[in-house]
Amino acid sequence: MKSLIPWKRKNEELISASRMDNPFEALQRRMNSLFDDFSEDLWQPMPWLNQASPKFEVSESDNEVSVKAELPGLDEKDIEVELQENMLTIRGEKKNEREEKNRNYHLSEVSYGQFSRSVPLPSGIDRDNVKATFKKGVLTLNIPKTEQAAEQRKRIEISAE
Amino acid sequence: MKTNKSLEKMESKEIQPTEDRPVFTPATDIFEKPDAVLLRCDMPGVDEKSVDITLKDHTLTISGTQQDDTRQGYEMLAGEYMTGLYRRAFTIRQNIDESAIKARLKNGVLEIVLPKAKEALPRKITIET
Repeated sequence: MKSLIPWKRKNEELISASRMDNPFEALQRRMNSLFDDFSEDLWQPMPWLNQASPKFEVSESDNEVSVKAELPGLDEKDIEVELQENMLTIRGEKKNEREEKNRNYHLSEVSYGQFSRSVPLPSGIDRDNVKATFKKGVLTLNIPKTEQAAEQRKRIEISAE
Repeated sequence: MKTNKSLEKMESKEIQPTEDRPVFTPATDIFEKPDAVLLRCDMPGVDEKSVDITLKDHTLTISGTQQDDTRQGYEMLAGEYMTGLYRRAFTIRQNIDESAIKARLKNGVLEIVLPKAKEALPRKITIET
């Protein structure tokens, strides 16, 4: 039945990140994904509530790459960061602290459990000087670029005629 | 087409921003214990100084502001979240001992303990003989 839906745009998610700076495109994509969510709803109830998989932000400056992840409710001890080649992997487990029996839930939206996410990083990073901090539920990684890579980045002047 | 109709419906709704930053609804767990109601909200990146909790007429309102962490000279490669405000209101039906409400913010999770008022606690009645 899913294949009958012509406006399924799953592949768009892959290129979405690079287009984030255009608010209109972002809105349009959000609308598209909204309908995707609706159609998926039939198979998987409320997929947007699954927050066990953390949200990432990757940005780059002239001399470093910065990775941020929202990890509320985790302790720094619960997080594992690994760098293999240029693949950054963040693993962790969000534990439900107060495991009490016969708890009377009125609302349960927070997802608990394990997650693992990998982010490919640009080449030319200084693997030995990665700085990781965890503050207020946000993990920040500062990955410096090697001097070589920083030098290679060259701005090209545009001359007006 | 049904899709277009619902799209038109959404566009016709007049939505006006009341804040200059995006407002989010924090994911929340609420559970009840014999003597208290517990709330737990995911609010990553929020500073405890910016958290505001009010209880009035059985409505509990919580809000918190995330630090704006946009930095100069950085180019976004992939952004899956934005920073803004968290805000949410709940109706609490139980009688709460307002003077004993406790709240703490740890690792981006706001936890509020709302102890039940004495008159709301279950009472054991002994039968006189």
